[in-house]
Amino acid sequence: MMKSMLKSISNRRWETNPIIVKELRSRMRGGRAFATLTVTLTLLTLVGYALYRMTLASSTYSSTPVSPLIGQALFAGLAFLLLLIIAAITPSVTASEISAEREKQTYEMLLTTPLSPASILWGKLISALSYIFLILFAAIPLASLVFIYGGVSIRDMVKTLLALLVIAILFGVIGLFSSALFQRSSQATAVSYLVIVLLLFGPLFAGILSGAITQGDPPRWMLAPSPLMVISSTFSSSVNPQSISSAFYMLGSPIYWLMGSTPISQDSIPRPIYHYVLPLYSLVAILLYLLTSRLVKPVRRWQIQWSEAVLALVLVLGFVSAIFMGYLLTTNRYENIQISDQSQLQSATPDPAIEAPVNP
Amino acid sequence: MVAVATRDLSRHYGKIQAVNQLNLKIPTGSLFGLIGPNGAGKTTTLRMLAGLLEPSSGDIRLNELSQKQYWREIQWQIGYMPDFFGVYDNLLVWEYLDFYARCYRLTPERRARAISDLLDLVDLGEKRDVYVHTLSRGMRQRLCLAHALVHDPQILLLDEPASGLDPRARVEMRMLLRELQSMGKTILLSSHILVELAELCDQVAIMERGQLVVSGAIDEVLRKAAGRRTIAIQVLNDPGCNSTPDRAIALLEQIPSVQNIFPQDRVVAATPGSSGGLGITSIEIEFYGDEFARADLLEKLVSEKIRVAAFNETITNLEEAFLRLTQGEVG
Repeated sequence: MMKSMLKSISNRRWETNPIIVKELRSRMRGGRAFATLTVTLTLLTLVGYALYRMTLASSTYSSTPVSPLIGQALFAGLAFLLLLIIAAITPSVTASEISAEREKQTYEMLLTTPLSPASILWGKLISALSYIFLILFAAIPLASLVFIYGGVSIRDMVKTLLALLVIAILFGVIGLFSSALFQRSSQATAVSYLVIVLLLFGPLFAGILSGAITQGDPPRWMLAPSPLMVISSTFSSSVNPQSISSAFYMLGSPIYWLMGSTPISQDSIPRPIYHYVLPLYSLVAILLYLLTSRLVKPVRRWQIQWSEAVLALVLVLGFVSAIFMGYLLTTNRYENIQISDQSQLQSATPDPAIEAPVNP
Repeated sequence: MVAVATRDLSRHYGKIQAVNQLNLKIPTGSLFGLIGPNGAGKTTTLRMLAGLLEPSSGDIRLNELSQKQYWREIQWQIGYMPDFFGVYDNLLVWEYLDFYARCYRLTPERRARAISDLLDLVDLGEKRDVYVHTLSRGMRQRLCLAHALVHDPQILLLDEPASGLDPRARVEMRMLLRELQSMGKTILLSSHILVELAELCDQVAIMERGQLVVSGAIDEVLRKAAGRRTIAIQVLNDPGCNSTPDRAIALLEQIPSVQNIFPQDRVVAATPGSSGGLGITSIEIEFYGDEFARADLLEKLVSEKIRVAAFNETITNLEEAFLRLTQGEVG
């Protein structure tokens, strides 16, 4: 079986997925794609400018230097806005991918071709995401304005961008899944928006509720599922929540919840939230994708072939073990730092070496 | 060689039996017509053959391959054209065919050749760079046929390829199908337009309520339908010559190949001025037998001094055979 699988892989000529070719041809035609891009970038520019003015106004009497505050507020604001734009656009692109084929009665002709449902899905996902990624990458030059003001490291910016990409994939797969599950595009779109809004804001509302009951900060695990929290955690090491909450003073406490980190004790540094949640998002996306690839089949929906089962298992286990390895490799950077030999403890200001007095 | 064979093929949607124990045998290279009224199960049958719908029970063999086992191989050998289909927006005609050619993993050279050949075949060469969604219904229908041909399949499954076409486009479609048949392809098409099938197909099968009523070559089907034909006899009611409908009916009842007698009890015309109940009575009989038996019947009536004014069978073409055969026959 392995032999035949390998043979079929090696025999296959490398060809671009036909769905990607078709979708890109038709999607990029006409003004809509460019109009969306233009509107998005204009919105980002306007919000960026507003953030700049707000930070300037709120830090008039501040003693801290203004420039990094502007940089941080601008960066955090743009990151959150991009997240919301992704949440707004992704379902509209992906949630009608399969159901529209059904509604337009093109699906059956597609399914009689030897193109496998998995490749149909893959093509749909890639072509939809390539459009989302186009928007994300088009926003990078705008986000790099942040470096004029400083206050954010490039490392954090890359981390935030990666987190946004993973979240976009998750949203895309959620849209595809509901598109395969429901017959009507309108239904699929509504459901995927609902799920995404719940994912974004549900944890925040739960946090507010629990905060009101316990009269204290909500536990961090409660907020963790929200992509808002994930994005915050990617830049919380360099962005001071104070600098943002001064711009959005009305949203002060949610911003503190999102961006405040657990205190660093003598022997432990907590792992940032995104270390847990981004792998979780990816795993959910992989599982939903595998499930959707069954749902798009018209017949033999749950007859899983050996090769398919092995492939899926390899994918999931490979992913889980890669993440696990990552945890193992980085474990000495984070929690439970075991310091067995106190002499290895280096301090910024080394103790002065005092020599023992020598008896004459 | 048998291109398409089904054995006890059944499919039900919930309690509704769409296809019931269908046995079809379509020889390679033939143009086979599937006829039936709406809801007879033609589309369900074609969708099962195309692999889009799982049969509830029964087997399908295409080109001698079992569909259950070899559906991957079969996908390369069939071309399917659904009865209702849409086209993608914002796609040019050549891109539309290019998309399906890519789905069948044609090499770039073969792809380019197939697209131009097919556009010529379906006479859409000039429309190459036109948006698909701007095409007229007939053009779309032909484009859809072209898409089903992109990988040069052996078997074509066409669901109502001529529906919604104007007469001219219908003639063109017919010529196209003949051309495809001459290329050695097996074509299975469904239709409810019978006249067309009668001219076009070598073989037909009549379906009703999911069941096969009759199948075979056109002449054969006609003969089968004609095997039990209805004959209308008009008898002159002329007591002077001892020719009365009652006597005619009594005579007919003695003949074994006459199954049912429906005296119409209606005087069709009375000759004015004649005495008594002179007139014409129409009698319809269900008759089993060939032309000779019919001639014998007429001879018998005449020799018994029954004055026959008209003697004609009511079934003359496929359309009526179809109506006759599907009239609550199964239900």
